[in-house]
Amino acid sequence: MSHTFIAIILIILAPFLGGLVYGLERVIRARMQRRIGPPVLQPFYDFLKLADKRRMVVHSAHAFLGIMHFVSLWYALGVFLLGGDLILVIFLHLLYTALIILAGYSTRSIFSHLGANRTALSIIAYEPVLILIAVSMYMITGSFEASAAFHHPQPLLYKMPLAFVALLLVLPIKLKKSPFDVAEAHQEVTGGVELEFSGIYYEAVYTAKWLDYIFSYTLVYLFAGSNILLGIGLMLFTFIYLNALDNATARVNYKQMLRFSLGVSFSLAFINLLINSLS
Amino acid sequence: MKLATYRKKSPWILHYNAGGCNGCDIEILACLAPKYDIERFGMINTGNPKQSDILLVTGPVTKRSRERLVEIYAQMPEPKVVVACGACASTGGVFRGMYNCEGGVDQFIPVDVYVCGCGTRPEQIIDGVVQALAILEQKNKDMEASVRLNTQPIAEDEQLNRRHVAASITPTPTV
Amino acid sequence: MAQQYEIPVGAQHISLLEPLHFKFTTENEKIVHTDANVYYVHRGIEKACCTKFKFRQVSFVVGRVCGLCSISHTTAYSQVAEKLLKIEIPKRAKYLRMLVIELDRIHSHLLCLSHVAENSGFEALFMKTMQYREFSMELLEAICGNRIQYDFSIVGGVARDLKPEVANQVLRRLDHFMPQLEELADIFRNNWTLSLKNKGVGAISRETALRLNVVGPFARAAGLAVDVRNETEDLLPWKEAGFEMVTETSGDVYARNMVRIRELYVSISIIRNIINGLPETPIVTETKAFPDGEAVVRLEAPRGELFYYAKGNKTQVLERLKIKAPTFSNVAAMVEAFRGNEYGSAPAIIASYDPCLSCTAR
Repeated sequence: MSHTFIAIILIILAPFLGGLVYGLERVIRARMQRRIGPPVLQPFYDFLKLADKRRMVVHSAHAFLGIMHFVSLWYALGVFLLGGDLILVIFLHLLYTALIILAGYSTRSIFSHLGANRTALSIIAYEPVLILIAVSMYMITGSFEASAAFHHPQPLLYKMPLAFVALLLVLPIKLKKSPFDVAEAHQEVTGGVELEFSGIYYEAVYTAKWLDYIFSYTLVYLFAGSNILLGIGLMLFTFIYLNALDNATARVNYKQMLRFSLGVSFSLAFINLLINSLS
Repeated sequence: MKLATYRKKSPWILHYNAGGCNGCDIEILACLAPKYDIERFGMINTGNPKQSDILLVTGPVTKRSRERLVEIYAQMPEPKVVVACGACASTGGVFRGMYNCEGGVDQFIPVDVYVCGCGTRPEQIIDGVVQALAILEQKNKDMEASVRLNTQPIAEDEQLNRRHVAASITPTPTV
Repeated sequence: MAQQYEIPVGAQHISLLEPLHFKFTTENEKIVHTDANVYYVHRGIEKACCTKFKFRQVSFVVGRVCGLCSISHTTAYSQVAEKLLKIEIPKRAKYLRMLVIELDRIHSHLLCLSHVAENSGFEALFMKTMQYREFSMELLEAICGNRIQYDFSIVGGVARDLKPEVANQVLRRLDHFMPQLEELADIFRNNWTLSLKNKGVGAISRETALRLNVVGPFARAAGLAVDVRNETEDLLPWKEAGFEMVTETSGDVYARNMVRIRELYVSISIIRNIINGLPETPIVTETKAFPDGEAVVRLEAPRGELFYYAKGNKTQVLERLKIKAPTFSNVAAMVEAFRGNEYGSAPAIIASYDPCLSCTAR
């Protein structure tokens, strides 16, 4: 039962942990660019400031979708951490993205539309890979439950290394990191779907980004099975890898992203699935 | 409340060139760069008026820029602070009196901090923005107070009516 | 038919330094048509120069036409005024003008490169280039006294002399900068994701460039060997200082980056030659004459050919001053080169033009 207890604490603390991860990431990124960078608690300062801003709403549905964007991700994360069905988790995660896409389309801003288009395309890029990874896990653990993977005696990484590589290749798309950050490319669409949010409603979108970090790092942790040390090592590795990648690459356009993701990441995950099903 | 002191630690800036010579703009860009690094103060160059707190304006306002300037200002949610960067944004500078210039940002939107110099040095810009933070905090408190006492109706606060402003421009005679 | 989006970029946009408005008509994010609107910055400087200011003050006013190439403007104006006054300036003043123009070119090109990197989504390279660029700003401050508006050239010569210790500092900092430039050149040349964003993007052919009258690095990237430094020798002795022409052939963003990087090497060698061979003469020619007649001057600004025309009438105030800025020549080609590219590449393409609209609109 202690596992459930830890999971519940993690779920409650998830936004704070995510904020810390985001703050750390901003510091690390600044240091990699030879700057001092903001304090680690900077995301929380942003949080407090955004709570104080005057509320400007495009229309009520837009603001509602923004808040539901946050709530649905927290729910998906809850299901995930409590060891729920992986496929359900992935589709709840899809719902979270679908809500922000709807919000993007519901305004008249052209950049918001473009951002929604690009977010939809990035779903096409990473969602199949996530599903293939879930199916591979099913092949090994015999269950779609995430808890089965968390309690698996041997780390899944050893049996599905290619899937891990595929996950590493799609995580930048999901977390909107440099080579694949077309969805919120600041110089092109100035934030994309987030463009029209302001004040406390932007806060929901902003905080959902923090939760997304926790979600992604939990996905990484899944590969360690019951080996906690390996899990922490994998998460650290992913953290450094993501920031190094972010700082070493330019943004590609969405066609190149789709081609790369469906060509390389998807095939890696698929080969991994074939190997798992044969052995 | 103690939390209120943290609010000024996250100013997001928006930069608009209202017809200047680019000199101050490249110095603002230099502020983002490693040598001056204003992200130390938590500042991000958002480029999105709806999520910004500080508006950095450069340049004397030309007749074509002024509507965009007021529009951008109106789109920013309160509390907001305007920093006029450079001599020409503050007063019109060398361009004062030219037929297509209005001479100074403060003719159209309320300016809180004037940064002098042609062109401004990055240190001056940082100093101006840090001064703006104190004003931002004060505005934050004022806004809270007005909400609590419910004394000020929304129509009378600092929010600008664009049409009202646009109508008040006096046509300067061409030289 | 795909749905057409009309994407407005500007007047305020995060990837733009100055107010300029592009309206892209896109299909599936592919640009099919572009409208450019560049005259947000019109201030009326030419008119003011002919009415409000005396001819000796004008060199400070035209410096405010553009903060990036202010030394080119002041120098070009000083030269045209000297032609009207019919005076010859000392050789040391010519060399010092060239020195500051080349330092200005270094800072302008590095700014453009960093801006291309930022608009390509390569934040770390932007930071790196901006960091390396600071040396040129510090040198300019040491030589001229200000970081951006130098006001170095005045009618009849230059405002300040170059002290020997500053000259040594310039040489030392240039030596320090060389490995950093190698590093930057390596990243711009070899980074794979950057090449995806830059190679073959925003390309313009040699014929189109010739037809649309393109100038500056934009033209040299397309293979046109146009450079005023190569053509005029009477006002500033460029060839004596070791000027070399730099051209590329492909005409895309990558080629423009390469032209800029290679021009940095040329500029550095010119600066070294100038400092090593600086003649010992006075720096100002005094005169009490008034401008008379008409004159034309061309000068290579960091963005291309700068053209000044002035007409005097033996009074303190000029009768006419006409400025044609390099970006003005390039606007037609800028609109042309967008066609058929991804909208995602548009900010990088805009940055690679290095547009200077405050020059264009004045």
